[in-house]
Amino acid sequence: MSGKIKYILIFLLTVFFVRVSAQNSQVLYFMNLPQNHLLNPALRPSNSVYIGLPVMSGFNINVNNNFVNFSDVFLKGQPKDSIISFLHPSYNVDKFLAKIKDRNYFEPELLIQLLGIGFSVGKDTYIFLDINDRIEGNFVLPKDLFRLALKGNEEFKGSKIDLSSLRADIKYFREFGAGFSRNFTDKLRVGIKGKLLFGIATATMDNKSLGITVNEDYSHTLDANMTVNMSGPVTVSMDSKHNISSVDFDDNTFNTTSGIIDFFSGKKNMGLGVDIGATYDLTDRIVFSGSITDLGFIRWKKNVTNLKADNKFEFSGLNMKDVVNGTKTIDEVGQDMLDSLKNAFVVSNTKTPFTTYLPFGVSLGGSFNVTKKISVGLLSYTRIIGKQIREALSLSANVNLGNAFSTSLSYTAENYQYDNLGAGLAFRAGITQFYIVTDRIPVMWNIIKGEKTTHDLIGSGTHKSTYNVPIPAKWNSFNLRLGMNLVFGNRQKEKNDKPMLIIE
Amino acid sequence: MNMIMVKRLFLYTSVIAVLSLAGCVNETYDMRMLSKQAHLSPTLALSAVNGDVSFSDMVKTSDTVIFDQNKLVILVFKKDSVVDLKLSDFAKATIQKTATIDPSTYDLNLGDVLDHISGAIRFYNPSIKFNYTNSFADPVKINLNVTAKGKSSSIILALAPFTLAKPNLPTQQEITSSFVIDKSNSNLPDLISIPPSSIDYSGTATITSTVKDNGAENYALGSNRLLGSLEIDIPMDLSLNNLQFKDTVNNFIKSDNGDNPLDPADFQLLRIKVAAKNGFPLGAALKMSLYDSVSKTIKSTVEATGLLNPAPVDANGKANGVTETSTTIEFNNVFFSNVNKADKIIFTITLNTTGTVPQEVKIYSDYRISFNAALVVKPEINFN
Repeated sequence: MSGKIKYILIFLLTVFFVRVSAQNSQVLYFMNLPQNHLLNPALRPSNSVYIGLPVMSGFNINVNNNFVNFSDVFLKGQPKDSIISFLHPSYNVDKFLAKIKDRNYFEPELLIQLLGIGFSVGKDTYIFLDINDRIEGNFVLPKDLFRLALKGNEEFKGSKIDLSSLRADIKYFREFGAGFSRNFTDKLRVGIKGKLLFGIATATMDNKSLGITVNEDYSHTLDANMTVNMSGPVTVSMDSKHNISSVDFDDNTFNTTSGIIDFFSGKKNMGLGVDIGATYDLTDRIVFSGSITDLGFIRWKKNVTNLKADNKFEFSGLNMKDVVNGTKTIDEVGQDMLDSLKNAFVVSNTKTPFTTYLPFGVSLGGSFNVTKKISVGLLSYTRIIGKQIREALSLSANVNLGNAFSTSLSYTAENYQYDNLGAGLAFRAGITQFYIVTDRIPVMWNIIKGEKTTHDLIGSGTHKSTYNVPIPAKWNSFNLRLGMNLVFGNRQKEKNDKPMLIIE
Repeated sequence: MNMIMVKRLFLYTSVIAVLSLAGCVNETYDMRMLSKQAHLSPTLALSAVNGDVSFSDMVKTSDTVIFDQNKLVILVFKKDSVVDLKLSDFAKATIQKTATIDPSTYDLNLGDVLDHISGAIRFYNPSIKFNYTNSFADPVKINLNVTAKGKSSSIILALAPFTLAKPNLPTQQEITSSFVIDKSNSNLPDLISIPPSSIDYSGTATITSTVKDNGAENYALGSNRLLGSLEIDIPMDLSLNNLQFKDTVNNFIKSDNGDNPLDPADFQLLRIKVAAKNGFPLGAALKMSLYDSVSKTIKSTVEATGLLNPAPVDANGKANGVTETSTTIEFNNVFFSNVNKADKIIFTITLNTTGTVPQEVKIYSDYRISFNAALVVKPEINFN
């Protein structure tokens, strides 16, 4: 395929995706980058050696949510160009709620690669080491919570306000990973990475049930069976009635250097993890691959707090019998009710070590090499977070010109969005390889116009100025991975290869 | 090398440029035009009060209220020393000696209540027991004049003179007995049903001497005495026909002094839902009116005509079932808009006994009512 045709193909793919207004992908998977072994340990880059320098090697920020978009929160109204929020009296709340999902999740993730090393041993074996700091959050807000806030509880008469899907998990941990991949046959390549995990801090909610039943007579039955496990410099104090009296941050942890080191080492909260993956060359042009990543757990033992509530309480109003027969005043009956409520929701506070499991991912991919340098790929990625399952399906076009240049464009259907266009670019200058990858290019933008007031440095005068801030029209997902590797060598030296670009 | 890098960058830049050209500005939001109006108006509902109470929970037995052996509720009013006559009180005469029972008034202390009552109430079986101790050996005849004063009328008891029992001398020096006044010998039901705020009474006692065979018998000694007291028993055997209790109170909802944390303007709706299983043969309706005493006009009225429907009764007037009622009392924004225009609130409670034409029913102490009152509120929470 000539260079012109390649350019045209890339252009047509780009235009195609833009015209259908669909975009996104898990771009990294099919790129020729050392970091793609994070997604499938069987994948190897074309470099013989790579070194990821501390922090500079790369970071990955990933925020997914299935919440409403800006245009759902703010609506252009009448008169022309006026804007109303979803709390405006003329905004149709039902329309707003119709856009809210049953489970509204928000999943921020941050990965900072502290160190990465990979090198080839012999022809088939590739060994890699990683140290990554990871922060992962998973928050789920049930739709009923929004309905309750906006419409009130009468909406639920005769039914249950189901908050059992309410989740709030966040964990900060460090992983030390070491693994290898090699060809076991001419067609099959298998990779595995073992991970030693050190938990630094976490707060995780195990919500078995949480709900409020609104009966026909508007009596309410509250039931809760949930546990909040925490590990971190937080002290929860209880009163004599087992009610939480205070939650305090333990400043002493960070008063000394040894305390800070001890906290960030996470050495008392250890865990194990594994990534396994394989690729299979069906033909010279067709390659299948699959992996399971982040299969693992962390056992949290340090600064542990377990708050457990397993209670049921029925509120049917103040029972007036005692007031009517004169044995109590209405104030006393009210106080009894409050005491009952407090006693019904006692919380047990223990220090029992607990285990959290990493959300794990299953990738299944297939690629077709159009030419030696250009391929198209199809990738399914399933992420399992407890009982929640996220699915993404990506179609990508990839150009890998040795280890000198790699780019990928992808379309992904995920997150209830079908217009995700992603792109990645990696290029090498000498031993330095720069890369930037995003799963979603915001093609459509909204411009937010505003006015700000600034104060003069001298005197007390102020003046107003306008500003324009572009924001993505759809903000359901944001992904950015960028960094810099030191790379050496290139194992792809085939006699019949005609590189599109000649590296001098 | 540099040319190659430039070409690569050009390629990538071209791609991004195409995307950027195609991907354009979707909308422009001028936040300076953002309406400041923001509010929340959820409809909140909560069961406020409930109860399952019997009459005996509501009213305890006392000197004034008793439950008989059948649990029938009876009101009792007692007045001691209605009559206290000695021989010296009687006018001297040979055959007939007459003493006067001085006019007196028995205040039932119901004046305040009766001032707020209208409509018809009828008690079917009231009785007055005249309890006395008599040591006069000659017959004593009492002529009692009783007049009950109601709010706007009065009723005479119309009781015929009656003779008291006398002691059987010489073995019996005095006798304690009673004389019952009821519907068989008087207008008592009408008198009680007026209903009275006070009862005026007066009369005479006449001793008629008789000639004895045995001269040893002494007929009228200086120590002879007649002591009498009254006990008014009003069994709750009654009928109510639109008996209304009306009371006017200051408008406590008004928020003119700033002390009230609830501003009526903050509500779009306030609804009270009352569900009841009524075992009493009494129905109730409630009316609440906002009243401006300056212009003497009612500004707004909220009414619950079927707050409670009466229980069915058997042939004896005893409730033999329960009636379920579900009522909504709705205070809408029209009502709330008038709250600050009124300085008074008039509450009117109307009671009726069972039946299209209210019939005679009996109230027993084991009657029960279970109820649940829920509040439904639609507050207007503004973030402006």
